[in-house]
Amino acid sequence: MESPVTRASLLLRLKDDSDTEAWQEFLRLYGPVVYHFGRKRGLQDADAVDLMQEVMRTVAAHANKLDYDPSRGSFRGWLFTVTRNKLYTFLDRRRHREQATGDSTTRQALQATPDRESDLEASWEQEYQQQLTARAMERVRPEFQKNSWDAFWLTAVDGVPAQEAAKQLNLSPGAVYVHKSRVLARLREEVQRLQSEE
Amino acid sequence: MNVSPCPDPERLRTLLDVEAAGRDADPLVRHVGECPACQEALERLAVGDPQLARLVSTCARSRPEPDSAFWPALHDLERLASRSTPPPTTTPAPHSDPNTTAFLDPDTRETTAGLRIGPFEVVREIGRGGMGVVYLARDPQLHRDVAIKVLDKRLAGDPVARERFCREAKAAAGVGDDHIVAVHQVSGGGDGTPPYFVMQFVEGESLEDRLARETRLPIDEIVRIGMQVAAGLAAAHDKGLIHRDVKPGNILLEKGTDRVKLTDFGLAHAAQDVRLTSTGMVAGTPLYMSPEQARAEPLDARADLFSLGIVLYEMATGALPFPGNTPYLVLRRLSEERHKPVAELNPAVPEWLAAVIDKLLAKRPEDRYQSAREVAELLEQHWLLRRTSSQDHVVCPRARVRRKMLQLAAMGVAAGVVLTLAGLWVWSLIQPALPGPVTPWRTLDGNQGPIWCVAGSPIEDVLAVGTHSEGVKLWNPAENRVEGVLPETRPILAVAYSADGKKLAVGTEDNTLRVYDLATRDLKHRLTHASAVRAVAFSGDGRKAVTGTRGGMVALWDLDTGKEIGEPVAAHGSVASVAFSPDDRDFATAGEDGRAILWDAAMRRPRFETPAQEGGTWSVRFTPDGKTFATGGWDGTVRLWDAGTGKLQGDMKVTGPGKDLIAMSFCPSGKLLAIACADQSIRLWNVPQRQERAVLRGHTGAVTSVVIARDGRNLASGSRDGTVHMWAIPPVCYE
Repeated sequence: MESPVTRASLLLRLKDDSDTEAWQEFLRLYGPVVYHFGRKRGLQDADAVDLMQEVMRTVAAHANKLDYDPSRGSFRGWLFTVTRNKLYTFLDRRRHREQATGDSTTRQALQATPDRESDLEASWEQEYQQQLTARAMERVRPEFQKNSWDAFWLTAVDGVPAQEAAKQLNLSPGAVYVHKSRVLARLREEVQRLQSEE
Repeated sequence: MNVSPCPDPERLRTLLDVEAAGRDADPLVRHVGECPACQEALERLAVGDPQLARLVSTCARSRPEPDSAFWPALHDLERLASRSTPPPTTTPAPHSDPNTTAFLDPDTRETTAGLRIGPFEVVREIGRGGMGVVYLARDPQLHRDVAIKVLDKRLAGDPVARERFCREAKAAAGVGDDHIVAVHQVSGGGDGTPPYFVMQFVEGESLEDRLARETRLPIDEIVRIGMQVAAGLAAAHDKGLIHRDVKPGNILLEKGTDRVKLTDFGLAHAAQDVRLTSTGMVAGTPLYMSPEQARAEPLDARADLFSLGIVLYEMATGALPFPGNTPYLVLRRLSEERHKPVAELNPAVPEWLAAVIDKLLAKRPEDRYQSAREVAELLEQHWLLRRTSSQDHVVCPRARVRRKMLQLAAMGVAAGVVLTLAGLWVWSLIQPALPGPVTPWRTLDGNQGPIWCVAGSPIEDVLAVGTHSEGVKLWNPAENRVEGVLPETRPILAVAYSADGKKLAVGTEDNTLRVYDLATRDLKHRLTHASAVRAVAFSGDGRKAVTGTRGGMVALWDLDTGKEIGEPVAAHGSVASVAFSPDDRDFATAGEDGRAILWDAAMRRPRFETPAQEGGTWSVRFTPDGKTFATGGWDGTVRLWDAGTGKLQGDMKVTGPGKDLIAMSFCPSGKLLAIACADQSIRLWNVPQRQERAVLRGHTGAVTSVVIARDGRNLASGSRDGTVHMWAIPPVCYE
């Protein structure tokens, strides 16, 4: 749990370059968001990683100069704009290069119908929600006993039927449902909390 | 099939809350196991929005593949900003259990850089003993150093020893005394990790190290150290714990303070459950054992006193009372032979001290002192007397000593010693009579997690301390006693007393404001909000309270009815601080948008707001005369505003931007302002002179809260480092 007192918006905290915790938190949540966003736009693994690094380096380098105005939208909306712009620059750069070398996979991606703005944004938002959930799961996990977590994981993530999970974990089926629901309830709280940080 | 009837949703909901479920949960759980309708209902109650359940189910595919270039790139980026944290040596697979990360074998001396034990990051090894290894590690969440003791592999294999180890460590964790190293967490281990526990890291040397350097110690030191060890033992014995391994290696002398702390509880007990191997004892030579321990007879607290006697003997003479090269020789000597008299080895030792040592070393427990408390008091009396005169005194009957102490108090020498009505001495860190760096005269530590807020009672010398997971502790610093606890497991973000001292308002992470009647400790109101309650203040008449939440809502509550007055109003983005004006006509709020707003309390409408500062404004406080209010926040500057017009009257630059000012407190006269800073210091500002008069240092984490006592002479501070310190305000600050 972080100090509620110094919990300025994440971006404000990033301005303080000695706040390593804010930076790590930011990376662990948004790193995958940008990466997957890139993958969905047709980029290969290495290229999506490059995109992620460029976006993050921009944030890191300019954190204390950015004039982000909180009253005009959420942090992740702002980051989406940065990412999207970087993505286009990225694709343009690649396009010029690929036109020279003739790499077919990238050309296919480049030639695909350009996404509509609203689709892009929806995709970004979806990715964000997914990563938020994943991050919440990481943060919440240490609070639970191994058995409780496993009961949740087997049923909610791996899709194992409760009776089967109960046998594997040596719990009653009722207990499996209860553990699963408790973890879900805690996750819901944590997701809300993480979202409110912006 | 005979399925019991479905419970109503409220009953079902209780299953989600571990505490609320209670003992009748079992039939309920069984029903859920058999009833698909209730299974679905329970899940719906838990998850609210079905999208969450969907997102959870796709989580396994949501992280980049383990072999993706993503992970090395992520670590590079993390290293970009991080300077002191070594990167993990292996790339973590997306869902690996941190507890199954390959664990360092305590028998080897490989480098520990980058290793994790649970969530902690190991920095280096700091000690090794028969029981296991101690590492210095970093708590990444709370930004503090901790010491982690890992049970020796040979003992870790024995399930009885493991169980005992954890049980005793948990009990030690519950003692909570100045003279015992606080235990924060205990882990039974599992899946390749041996049991370990996490303690506060005490910087300094052990008594063993000191004796290796100095052989013999000055008498004052012997008495000072002996007194504190006995006090620590007394605290543990009160909780039913016997240390069983009192020896210089387990006595820590904290660097920079006068404090002595006892560590390593109950481990010797664990060792004794392991069968002796053919090569002898597992835990080294039993030089400090009591005869009853040596004979494997039933033990009580007096065994620790014998060991204390040996430690005192060693400090006084530089030699052991029962030496020997083999365990057999040592055990035989200590059970049967008389020790060499102290005076023979060191004639400078006062007779009374030699007598105390002799009594502690009596072979039969019934011939020793019967309690550690007795020994602690005795040593303390002698220590106080020694500090004020060069001769030793015969310890007087209580009445004479009391008179002597009153004399000393009058001379101003024994500042900080408190005489309780029962005539018992309550020991406290004695402040030096000469001006020097101010150090806390009392500390509440052993708390789990940061301290987020403190408040001082207006009618008695008690502090309400808002902890991270242990509820509100009502602490009496003078007597160093927690007088009560209002239980709560979620972090307490805000705490406030009503002006008559009868009510306490507690704002918690679970979006609730609780109002307690302090006389009965009953919960009077449970007021629900939409997000975490970060700030609360009572009106002067105690009938209203204003709250501010993390979600940025300001609400006014009627405490006679427990209902909200009107609708909450959005402000600041996120509210950090609220305060009522002394005449109850206004209240002020401040928050993340860097502004402070002054509201008309009756109309619940803003009267004016201050211009936005850079970064958030974390604290707003009225001066006691109500004519001015002060704000402080991220930009490190305190600003004073006219409470009638909102005009800026002046400012005081306390620190720089980014070194947040987190909390403030005015003294009752308004002359002094105490400021809690993120740079771990507390600043004292003389307001009329606009001048900083003192800087209090000692906390090892950002200071989250500060309150000046009602007599204006003392100050309490709470910090992210998990402690509350009490400080005496240097009188010069007021001039």
